[in-house]
Amino acid sequence: MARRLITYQQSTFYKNNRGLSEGANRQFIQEWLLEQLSSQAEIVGGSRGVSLPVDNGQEPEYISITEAKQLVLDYLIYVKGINKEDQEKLGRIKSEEEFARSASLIFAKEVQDPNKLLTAARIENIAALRAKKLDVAIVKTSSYDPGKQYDLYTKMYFEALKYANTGVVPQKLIRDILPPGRTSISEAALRAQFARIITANLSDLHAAGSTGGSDQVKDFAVASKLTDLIKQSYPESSDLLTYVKEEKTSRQTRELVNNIVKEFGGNEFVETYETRRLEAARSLSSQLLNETELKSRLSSALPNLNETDRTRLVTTLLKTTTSSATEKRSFDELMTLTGQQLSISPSILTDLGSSIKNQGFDVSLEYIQNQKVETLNNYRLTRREWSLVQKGINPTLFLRDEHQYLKTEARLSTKKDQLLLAYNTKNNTKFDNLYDAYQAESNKPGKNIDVDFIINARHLNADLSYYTSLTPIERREISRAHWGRRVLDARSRLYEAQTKILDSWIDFEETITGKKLLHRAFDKWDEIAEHVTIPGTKIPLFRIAPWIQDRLDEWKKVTTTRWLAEGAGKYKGWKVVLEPARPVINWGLKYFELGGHTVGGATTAFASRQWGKAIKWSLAKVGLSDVGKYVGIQAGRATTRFLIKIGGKALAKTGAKLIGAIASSGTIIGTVLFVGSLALDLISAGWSFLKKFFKDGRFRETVVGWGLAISAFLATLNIGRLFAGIFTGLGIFLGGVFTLTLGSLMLALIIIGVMSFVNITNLSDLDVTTRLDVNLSLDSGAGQFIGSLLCDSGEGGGKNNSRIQTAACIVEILSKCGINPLTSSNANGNSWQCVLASTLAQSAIAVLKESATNYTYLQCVGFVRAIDVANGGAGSGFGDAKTLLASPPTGYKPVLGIGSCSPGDFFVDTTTGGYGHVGVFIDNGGATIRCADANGGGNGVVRGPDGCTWLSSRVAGCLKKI
Amino acid sequence: MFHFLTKKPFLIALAIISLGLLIFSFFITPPTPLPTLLATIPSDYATKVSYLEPIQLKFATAVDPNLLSVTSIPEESWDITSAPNNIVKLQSKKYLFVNTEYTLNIFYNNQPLKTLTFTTIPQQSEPRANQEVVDEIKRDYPLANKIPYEAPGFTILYKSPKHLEITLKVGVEERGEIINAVRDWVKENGLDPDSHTYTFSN
Repeated sequence: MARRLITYQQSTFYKNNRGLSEGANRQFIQEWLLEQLSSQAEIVGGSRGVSLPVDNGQEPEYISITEAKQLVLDYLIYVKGINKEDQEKLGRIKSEEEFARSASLIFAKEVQDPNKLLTAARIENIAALRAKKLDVAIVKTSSYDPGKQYDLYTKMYFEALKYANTGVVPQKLIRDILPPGRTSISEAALRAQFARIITANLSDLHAAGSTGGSDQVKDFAVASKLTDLIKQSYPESSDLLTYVKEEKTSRQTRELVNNIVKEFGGNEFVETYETRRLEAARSLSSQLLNETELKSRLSSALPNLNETDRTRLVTTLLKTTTSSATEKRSFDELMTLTGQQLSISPSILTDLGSSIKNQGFDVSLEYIQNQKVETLNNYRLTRREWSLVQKGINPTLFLRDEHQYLKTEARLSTKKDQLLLAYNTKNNTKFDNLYDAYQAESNKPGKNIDVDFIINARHLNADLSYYTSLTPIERREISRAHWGRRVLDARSRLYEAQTKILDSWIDFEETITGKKLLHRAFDKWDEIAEHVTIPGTKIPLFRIAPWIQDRLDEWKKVTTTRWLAEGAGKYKGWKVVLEPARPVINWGLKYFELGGHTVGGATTAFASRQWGKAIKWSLAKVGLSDVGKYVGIQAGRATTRFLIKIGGKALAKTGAKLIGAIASSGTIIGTVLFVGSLALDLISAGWSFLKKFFKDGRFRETVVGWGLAISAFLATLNIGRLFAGIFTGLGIFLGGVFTLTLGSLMLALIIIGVMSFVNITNLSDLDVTTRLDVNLSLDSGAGQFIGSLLCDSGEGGGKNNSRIQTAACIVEILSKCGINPLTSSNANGNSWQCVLASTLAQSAIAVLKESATNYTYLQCVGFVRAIDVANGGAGSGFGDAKTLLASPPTGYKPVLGIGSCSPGDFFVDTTTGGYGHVGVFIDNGGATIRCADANGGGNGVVRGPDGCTWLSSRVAGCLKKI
Repeated sequence: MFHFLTKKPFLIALAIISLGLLIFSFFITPPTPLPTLLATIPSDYATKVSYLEPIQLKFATAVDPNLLSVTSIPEESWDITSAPNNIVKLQSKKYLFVNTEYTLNIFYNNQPLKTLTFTTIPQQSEPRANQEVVDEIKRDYPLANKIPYEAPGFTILYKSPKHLEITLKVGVEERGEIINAVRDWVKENGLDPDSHTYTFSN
């Protein structure tokens, strides 16, 4: 097939999947189209398009971006019935990336992935609640009973599960997959859990095995999907991962899925099953109590407590559902956390927990906490927003208003007025209180109830109650997150603009006639310029401007920047601002030195190092995740996603061409190609800014915010630190081609920089740091890679070295920031800003802080957990050190004896003290080992490869990443 | 009737008894009053108590720390020092066990003064035991952070305390020279070469 755009209905994927009534199902929309839209638009036959899934060896197929967006919109509007507000919002968005981001959020809201919240345990818990009639928080009507949707799904689920557990074929296949004698825990229990996972995820697994060419590819796709599902949604069943990856069992798993599907009617069954599962997932919140309802109802579950204690317990418990929302917690865990905060003895805590369970409120509490984990992770939260979460304040209600809580109050109030007005008009009533209207509507005869009003009023009432429950101090805390959110939003818009400009530049560059000739001419010019000097001097005749620039750079380096980094520190006021920035400035200086004290050279040094790491990372990513088996397609996508993250689409598209540009960027043409292309969008932004700045007085008032945004944007490109130094000098970039090109930009940016600086000094609580790639931590590899940018620690080859590097980076960053040992007080003090300003993955930073805060000193377990999350692990299942071999954390398998340990494994000492010890194994030195650890060499002390040793005789074994 | 009071034997007996009492009184020390203990840090029955911070006793007046003594369950060895503001500090010579209930019996001049009970903070490892491991490595394996050491013709591992085991690479035979090279390496790292023993594994 020629490389051109086709329509969706012409595609092979559509033809192969005609059984799908809408032509597109959730998996296709969520896992393919939205990802493609956010990352992989390509030029196809002169237009931009997104690829469709094709079989192995088949020519790629593309549909237009417009059609792809329409497919997503159609699905959301016609299948999922999203509200008008969201429809209009999506319809207005021009950029496909922004569209994909917004659609993903709406998708997550409207089409919750059932795996996330409709877990096997919850299915059974709610079934029990329904049996006791404790489930319904929202009124049932004759025409609307969310429980019915749930029952319809569970009926199908239990029937399919019964067949999986008793059918001759399924049982044979399950026994083949999990043969007797191979499993370490109860075989029956493991098989039962396997059957539950397969049954709950029939549609996903069936879809995975329905595309692709050969059976081998299909088998692998099913096995990969199952692996992902277990890792993400069933971490407690990680034992199963040992079996599902094998070639033989992957075939049997696909056969098992197909057999169950066939038994119940094939494609039609799968579609109905998936639909009902989605509806059941959506109905969860209607069946369970929300926070507001729980607040009042929990009192009845705790009659033995006095009013004060009850209020404290309920408030703390509900806050804990937010503060613990970094990972999903069970009800018992929530109670334990609450008990720790209130110093409640274990026995009393158990009694209180039982009382709550008896009323069935535990299911709601657990659901609320789990849902918050999902919601918060869907948003790209700033550091301060995460800080709010840690304090038990849910920031999501305020995101839309950028945390200006008065705006939120006004918005909620308007919404309430509108809802009441509509209700009163429709019913000819005069309610002035939403709750009263809600009660009145609930008490109507079943068939007359306005279900939409009930749902909306309940939801709005919960928001209003939550808003009202916040104390003035908490509201002030929320408002402090304003700047961070504002910068993040502005940065997203700028980043989008930058991508477009880069795309335009690359497309334009592709069309230059006689490009090779032009490049040759530039090369020749470079050669001449390099060698012809002004007689009697070493000044290159044709490179005077860069030469001047170099001298200025040196001058700046020696004076201004060094003064800023060191001299200015003695002034108390500046110290507050500059102390956290010191590592960053020194970091910038290092690249100036590496680049021969020139901007071009520094850029080259920085870029080439980044590029080298990018390639290394990409290869590691491919090798580690077995995506190579996916016939290269997945590998390409992983690499592309990463490149887009560090440099925009243009970087991903130009690939090898850019390497050439980087390699030659020490010369004029190289500099123009590389720095110029990266800077083009900045020129545009800067020029527009200048014009608007002088013409528009109101705009000038908001210049501070823009200034911060631009600074943040530059930081995103990671050339911001270079420019940050440049701004502090005087008259940099005078004359010359480079200056002419960037002159307007520099002027604009100097103004912005000055304004930003003024802003920085005026804000005591600035929430802007260069730590803006927070979401990179969601992609573990990228997070780890970016984490290594600010520290240059690293060791040689080996599959596990990412963990050694992360360990070394943690040591380096904490030491640079002056908080090694890491204690609770410095994890919650000003010095922590320095860690936040580093590019260590946000998830890892949070874990380090949590461990230090909870235990006064950073714990050995907290240290390895931080390394795990920075490298894409779930960070869950880490108990006391001595238990880690017997109960390995999610994603790890234990091996016994030090001889089984490899560099990067976590070594486990089960004997020292009552708790054992854990750290990163680096090398075996006979009676001793070399390692990286925390709390082993002193309280909260973090030791890297050069300082950490442990006794081999104490090492019982290691944890290997699965 | 009381004529006997004037008799000489009675007076002599009285004088002897008085003298005896006088002498005896020199051997009897009146009980020292117990000082008033105003507060303790941690307070009684406190939880999450630091395993390394000293226990502080705040008295109403200055007290002589030498008159204080402490026994504890679990047993620890305590240093007792005075600090400004009528405070006396009790510092365990080792870190306290974590997540452990301690009961301290504090005596003043051998008289019970206070029984203090508290529970130390839970941790995920035992700092006290970790410190012992670190001390052991420092004492018995002082070059552990350089080990394994790989040189062009050999590698070195620790086999046992202060015992380095050298593994020669294939084709390397000059054992005497290697030993000297290893000794030089030990010296370079600031240790006396004679502090270690050296053997070959092959």
